Amino acid sequence: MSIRRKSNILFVLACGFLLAGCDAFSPPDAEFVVREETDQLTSDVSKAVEEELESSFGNPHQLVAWLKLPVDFGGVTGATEESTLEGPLNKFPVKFDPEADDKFVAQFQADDGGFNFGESGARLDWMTGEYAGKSMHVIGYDSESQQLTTKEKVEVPPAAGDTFVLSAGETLKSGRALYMEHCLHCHGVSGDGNGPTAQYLNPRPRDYRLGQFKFKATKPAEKVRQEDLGRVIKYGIPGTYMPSFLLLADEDLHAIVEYVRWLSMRGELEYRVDQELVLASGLTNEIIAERKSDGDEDAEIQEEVDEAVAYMPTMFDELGDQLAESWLLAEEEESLIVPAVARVEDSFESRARGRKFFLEKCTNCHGHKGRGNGSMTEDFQKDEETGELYAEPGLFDIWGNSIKPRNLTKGLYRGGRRPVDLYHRLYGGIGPSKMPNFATTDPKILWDTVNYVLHIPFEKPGEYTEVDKEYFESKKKSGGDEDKAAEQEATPTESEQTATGSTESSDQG
Amino acid sequence: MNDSSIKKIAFLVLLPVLVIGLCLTGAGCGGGANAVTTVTLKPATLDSDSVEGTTTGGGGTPGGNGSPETSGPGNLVGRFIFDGTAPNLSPLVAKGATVKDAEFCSAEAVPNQSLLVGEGGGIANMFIYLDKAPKGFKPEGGLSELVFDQKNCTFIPHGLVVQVGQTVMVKNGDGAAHNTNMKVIRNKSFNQVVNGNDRNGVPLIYGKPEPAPIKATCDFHAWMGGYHLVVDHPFAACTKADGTFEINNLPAGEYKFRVWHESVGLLERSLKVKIEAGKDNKLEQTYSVGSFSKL
Amino acid sequence: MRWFWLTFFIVCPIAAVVFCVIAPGMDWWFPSEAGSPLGERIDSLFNLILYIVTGTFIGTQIALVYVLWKSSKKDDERAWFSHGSHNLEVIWTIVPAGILLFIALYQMDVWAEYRVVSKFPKEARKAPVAEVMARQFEWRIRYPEPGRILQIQQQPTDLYAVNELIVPAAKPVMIYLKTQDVQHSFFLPELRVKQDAVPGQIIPVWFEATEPGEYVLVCAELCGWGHYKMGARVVALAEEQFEAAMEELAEEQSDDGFADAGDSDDE
Repeated sequence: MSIRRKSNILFVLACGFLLAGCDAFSPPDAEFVVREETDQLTSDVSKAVEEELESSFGNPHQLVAWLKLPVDFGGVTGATEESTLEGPLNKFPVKFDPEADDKFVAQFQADDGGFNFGESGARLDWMTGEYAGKSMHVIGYDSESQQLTTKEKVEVPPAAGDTFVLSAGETLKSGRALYMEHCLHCHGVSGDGNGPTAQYLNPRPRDYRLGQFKFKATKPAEKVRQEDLGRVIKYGIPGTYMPSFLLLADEDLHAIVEYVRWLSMRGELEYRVDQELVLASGLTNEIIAERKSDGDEDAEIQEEVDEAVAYMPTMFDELGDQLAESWLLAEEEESLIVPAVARVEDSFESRARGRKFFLEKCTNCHGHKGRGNGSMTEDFQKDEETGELYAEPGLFDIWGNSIKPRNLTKGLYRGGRRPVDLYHRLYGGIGPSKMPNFATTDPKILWDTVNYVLHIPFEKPGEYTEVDKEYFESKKKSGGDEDKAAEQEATPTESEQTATGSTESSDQG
Repeated sequence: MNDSSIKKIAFLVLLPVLVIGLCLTGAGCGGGANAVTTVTLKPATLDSDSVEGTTTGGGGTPGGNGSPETSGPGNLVGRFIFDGTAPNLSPLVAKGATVKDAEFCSAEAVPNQSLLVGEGGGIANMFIYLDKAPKGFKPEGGLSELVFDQKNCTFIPHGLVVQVGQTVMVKNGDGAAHNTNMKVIRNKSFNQVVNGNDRNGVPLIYGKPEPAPIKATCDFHAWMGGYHLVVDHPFAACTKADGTFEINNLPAGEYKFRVWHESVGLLERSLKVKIEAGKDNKLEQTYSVGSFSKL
Repeated sequence: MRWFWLTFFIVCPIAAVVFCVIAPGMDWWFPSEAGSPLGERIDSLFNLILYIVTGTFIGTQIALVYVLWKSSKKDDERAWFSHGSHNLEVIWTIVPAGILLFIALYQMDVWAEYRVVSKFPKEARKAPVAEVMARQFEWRIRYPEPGRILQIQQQPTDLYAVNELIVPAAKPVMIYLKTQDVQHSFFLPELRVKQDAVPGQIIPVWFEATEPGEYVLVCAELCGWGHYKMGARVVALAEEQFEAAMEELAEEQSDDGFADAGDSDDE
């Protein structure tokens, strides 16, 4: 074979490979991650859980908007008006909900004043009435008579007051696309904080699937608000790899926040379902094997499995309701932490009181100089899940990551540096990283502590020596003497007393 | 090396490189954030042909426990016995040790209560309970107030049975503050500072039953541990120091009880017990060291 | 074959020049007119060099085509053996060197004004408007409290922002550029400002936004996987609006959540 013939053949092969490559080597489809605990369930139950999750949330390409959840899925809502037309017809007089009016115009109005619904029309989902649960496609709108025209004709017109959603899921879709573009590589497809970049990061990106977030303005037991999530995305978290997305448009930010909440709800639902099935029903492979070896009958166990599988939709329904309730509660006034008094004026006296509070409550973790090197960072803590001690000394958060208490001398405040942000941290604590809450403490003392903390990076050596001495003496009088070590640590050494500035030209807040 | 062999080598090297390059380029096209997504709607309420459940606050499977008859209630009286020599566990905090708030916390040694065997071999702090209320059970209300105290940096009592809706006053008998943190599963988190010498206490009320006993901890004193069993019916008990317990007014019938101990978890998942009306039904279970193998 | 190569070497240069000429009209040129006085001077320097280079380019290409054309004729003429020409070599060394020397000296004052700190406008040097700390993958800004001078060390009264640098318009301003981790580059394309941020250094950078408006700030030094999205905005405001914006920032920074209890405590 001549060179020319060979090269022709190879060229044809190359084209073939190219086309095959477009298919065979294309990046794998995005998929939601299945929790370890779900995998450990016995196969019938595990499959049922996954199926139910798929039918309630879908997969990243075929999303399911579960209307039970308090997520803004997007779309234009409205209701039909009284119609004098008779069937078969495809024109319905409608009235859009007040907030939805602008959305409708923004989404569908064409430059020439007419309305453009795309080639296949915009999907219309009926929520109530005759056609509840069914979809049609809108192909036209007459603004004078306020009538929608659909592709499908119906015999019986929908009654007045039947509600619908036009092009439902727009916000969710847009949120998903934006999330995949901006957030996926760290936070992962399922929001599990395990994207491709995550392994290089410390602290690790947030895992949304426990439904808990650190930096929120709500009371300790409540969930995070949309606004808090929005702040984190907008301003970033200094000292971590979470950057600021200030340049995002407002509606994009809203879409991402909604998608993150949606992912969190999905993750938490799976987590709670697993908890129920493991702790209440004991349907894991391990436990079932144990039961069988203990003599329990196969038929009995199978009955329980079948019961659990049949009950799955109802369980999802109930847990979904509970989730919806708790997320909605977070948005209420009563969940927000509002300081009971205005901030106490920042003065040395105020900071001295704050210092005393700090010595009493905070030094175990934050250390006596606020460097984040308190005694708890050296003790071995117990893992609540397993009951065993962690392999490393120090503190761990609810996601199992090793964490350190904040070094307050750096002036880097992850949840925000406004006084109200620090107040929220003190009053509400930071549940996931085991920072206790001081909701029952006098708000004035909390403000004193805020003043003290904000001033720590600018503290001069020896500034609080007298205050510390006073504090330790009063403790001695009441009998405690184990703070000798603490007292020594708190006293500045000679070299420190002669140094001038207390902060290195450090990282910015 | 002549011309044609150079050409051959060039082909053999360059062409595969070209082919692979083209494949990878092709592989990069499409997919990702540009993939077209669809959204389907799932209605908020379940349609009527799914299984109805009467779960009381929790999940798992529906229905009630056991098959109660109508012949009247009986009592379950029993004891759990430890077969063998009780382990001699060293205290969690030695007397006089240097710990936080030593004045209160190490004034006395803090015992390790993870396996307490009393006189005559009775196992203390063993929970025996029905995982679900009996079929047709209706809660009556009128629940008394319980006290969960903290003294010498120990929870008193170590194990407590609490009913849904029942008020537990979390008190503090030490001069130092405690931060009581309940490791809830279904309920809303309870993580509260209880100030020193607070004899009024902080109220704690559970809204849902928990699938297993939950641990009480203190964020300030890491060794502290206690357990609450939260149920939505009164048919649960925690054994006393001598290993005995009593569950009264249980409708006659056959039940499956769960038996749980903190050092091992569930000892019995469905212990079948038959309750006869109008009498004290006896139950005695013995467990040897092997059952507590996790310790 | 001969005509093919001749056409190739004629067409390419002509196309290059044509594209260059029509580019500004087709919006293939600079992102905008330079938004700062120094930027305008930089643009005019750029254009000067462009003309010089274009002239040289056209000249050399014509020479190349001529040589190709002349020498590719099938001729039985023997090659002309040359010992080189000393004069020619001198000419084509001195002339380009002279041109380059001219360019180097001509642009020196713009360079100095841009890079030499002692030549920065005095008012900008005395009162830097902010410290810009680049970090992966955002820009953290630290302003002095209104009425104070920015210090190298952080002060308790400093104001902080992220990804939005507010500066007064129509007057020279200076920032201190720092980086928290790796090299970044402070690039304001519309104002023709570019300065690498080097770890361990505090680099003063000055610029003047002629018109109030929003300008793009991007990172121009590959700093990691997020380099492409390390964007921010520079907002140039008229004097009173600038002061008002700083006051607003100061107020927000000291928000204690109590004053507007009942409203949202955000923004």
